[in-house]
Amino acid sequence: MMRRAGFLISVGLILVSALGPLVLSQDPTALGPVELGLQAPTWSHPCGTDVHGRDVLLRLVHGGRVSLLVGWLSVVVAVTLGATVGLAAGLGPRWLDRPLMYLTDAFLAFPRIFLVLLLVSLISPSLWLVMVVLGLTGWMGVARLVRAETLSLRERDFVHAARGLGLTARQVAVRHVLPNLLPTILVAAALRIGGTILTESFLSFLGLGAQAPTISWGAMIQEGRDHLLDGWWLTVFPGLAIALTVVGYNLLADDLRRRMDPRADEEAGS
Amino acid sequence: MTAPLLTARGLEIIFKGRDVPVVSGLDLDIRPGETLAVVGPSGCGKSLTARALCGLLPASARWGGEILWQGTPLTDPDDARWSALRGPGLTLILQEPLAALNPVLTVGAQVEETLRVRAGLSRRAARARARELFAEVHLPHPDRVGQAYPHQLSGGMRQRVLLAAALACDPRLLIADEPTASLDLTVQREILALLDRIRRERNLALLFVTHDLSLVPLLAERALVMGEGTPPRLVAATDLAVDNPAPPGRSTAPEGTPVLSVRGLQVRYGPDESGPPAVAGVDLDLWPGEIVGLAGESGCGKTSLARAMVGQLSHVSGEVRVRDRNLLKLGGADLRRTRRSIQLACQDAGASLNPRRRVGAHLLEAGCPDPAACLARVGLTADMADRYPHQLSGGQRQRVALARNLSAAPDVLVADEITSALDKPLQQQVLDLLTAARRDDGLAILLISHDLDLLQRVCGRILVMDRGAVVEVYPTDGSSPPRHPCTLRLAAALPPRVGTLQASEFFAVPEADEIDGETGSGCPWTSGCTSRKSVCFKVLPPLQNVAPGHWVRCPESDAPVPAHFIDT
Repeated sequence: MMRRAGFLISVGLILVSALGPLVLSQDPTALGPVELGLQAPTWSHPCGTDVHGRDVLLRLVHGGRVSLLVGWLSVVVAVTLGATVGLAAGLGPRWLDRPLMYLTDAFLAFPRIFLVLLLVSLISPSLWLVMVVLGLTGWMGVARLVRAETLSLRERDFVHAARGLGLTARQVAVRHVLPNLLPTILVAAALRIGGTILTESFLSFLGLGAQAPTISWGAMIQEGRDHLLDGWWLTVFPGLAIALTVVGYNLLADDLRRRMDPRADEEAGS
Repeated sequence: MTAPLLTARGLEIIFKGRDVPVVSGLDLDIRPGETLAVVGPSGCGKSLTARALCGLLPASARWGGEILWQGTPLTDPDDARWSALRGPGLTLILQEPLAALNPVLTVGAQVEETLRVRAGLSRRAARARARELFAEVHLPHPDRVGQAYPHQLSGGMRQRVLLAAALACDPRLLIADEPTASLDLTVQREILALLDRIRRERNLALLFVTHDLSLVPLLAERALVMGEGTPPRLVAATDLAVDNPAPPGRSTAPEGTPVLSVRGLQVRYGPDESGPPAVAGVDLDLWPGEIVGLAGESGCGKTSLARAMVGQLSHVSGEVRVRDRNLLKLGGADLRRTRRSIQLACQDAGASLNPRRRVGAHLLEAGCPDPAACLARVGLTADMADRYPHQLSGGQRQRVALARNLSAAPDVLVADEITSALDKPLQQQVLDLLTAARRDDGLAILLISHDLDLLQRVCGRILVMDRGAVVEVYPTDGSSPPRHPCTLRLAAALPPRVGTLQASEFFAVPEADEIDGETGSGCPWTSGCTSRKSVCFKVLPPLQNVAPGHWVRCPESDAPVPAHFIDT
């Protein structure tokens, strides 16, 4: 059951944020009647309402779109970049390895969160910028991981055998090295999605991420922090959504790692 | 007659979710001081049986029937009595000693841990006891070897450490699962002699699992034969038939130009290439349609030579000419084309197959037009094409790898110990395949093995390597028998044919360490050599032609020594 949980949570969240807005089609930004302001959860508003009388559940569903999109897109950017650099360092000409790894180390030496804060506050804050910046600052770990794995794969007998059959370097990389890297890359990506959503929330909480009227979970917590005592539902529900996402993607990563092993079915139960 | 220590009645082992049990109807009992061999081909369930008897089956398998320890049935695999039994009662020794040892702890710490946890000794007492155990298993420098890490020890020494750890709790039954399968013959013999001696001294019961029938009469009185499609049956060890198949046909005498010629091939390892060469200037010619044997103990440079010949290694000097193109000097498309014509089949065929590609994809990639036909050629059925490598048995993997090698339509095949992990019938099947490829396609084969007997059966001539150099080349037709001390040592390490030699004679051959002496300049074999001369201590003698087709690196004639053989 725990194995399925990661898959169910992450797919469930994607479905809810993709289809939810079609069902709950009211405008999440439209101001509600004043008497509806700051109401605790009721049957008609299961997650309560905010200061402006807007339904929190409605905003959660719409905000999920933004948070997941940021998570996915920046991870795709980071993983693509990281995998390319790692593969080039591991399989490319020998002289290329060192400069690429120096570059990676140089990027790693910057504290990521300050780099992001600096870039976002220098340029005007926007969601797209957050995505790109999170992607551009998140590739180093993937690059190191992919390079290390490539170096060990490169000396494996089956890679030697492929070269011995007269395959070109590109064929060896695409047919023999990359498929064996895929589990590593996917697991790294799944682990990172949760973390990136967390970082986005953090940025939005500081007011540097999603700008009103765009809704994201982090931005919702930021709006709710003035009402921690008289409106706990404003922060608790987006917080729970973020926690659920992070846990879900971490479980998914664990599950992926187990499943991607072609011998997995035999080891089941052990 | 004493009561049996361990008894199994109607033992059955089945993998969860399958209908057919791997083992069924197995009866055995074993008494103190007795050795029982469990023999059978790979995949017959003998290792599973060994594990079931210790209550250590993998979670994907279940067992049925009865297992009794001194008459008391053991039922539940999680039975606390069972785990109390492991150690002081019975203990298991596995095939791969490196996998059984923790790489980041010294071997002494690992043995002492057992002593402290299971025998309740103090730290100091454990250290002293470990030293005694190391001495008992004949490890060199028992007081210092404990500080070594597993990777610093040889395979034989690691197996001795495991044996010391197994003896730590004074077990009454030792279950040894192919304890020597990953060792070369000389070391194998030493370990077997050690097991036999310890069994006698301690009056242990020994359950010895092996696929090598020729070892059984040396150690055991009775053998349990498995894997014949019938319930396992018990036979007297001396009744075991070791099949000696007829020679599958020798290769023909060389004529015309060689298809492969290697000149002055040298391989060095290490970042600064300062160490002694792994391969020190090997010359070798192969003619189309011949099988040449290459023999030597593990560590002599056979595998380095093989890998260098197919261009897998850097830091190689010399020439490897295939159809007159020097593989080591080519690049780009020329290199890719030439590489196809010299193929390497490695010992671990599983590692040479991409775990994420199906068998069929491997064959198509190698240029096989029809996977079914290529599989049929190596005696496999067409449905294998859809399998992943891990779904095949060891023998099937070896044949798939070979089918892929042959699909590249090579001129030369370098086969590195491809039969050493296989049992006798499979070994024969693979050899038949090679001889067929030689006869039908004119393939030239360099067959690498430490088993001189096997090479003698299929090869036209045999090269013997030691410490990176070829020390003897001799014809197998018997016209000029081998004489170099290294060759004789290899031959002596072979287990004797059943009935030709007594176990005591087999074990009486001196240990390897007593034969080779100091290293340095000069011939490394001087101390064990009966025909050494003073010049041997200074320079490595050249190969000398002593008979047609027979070359020995030994100065029996007084020819001047060429400068390039002087080993600095």
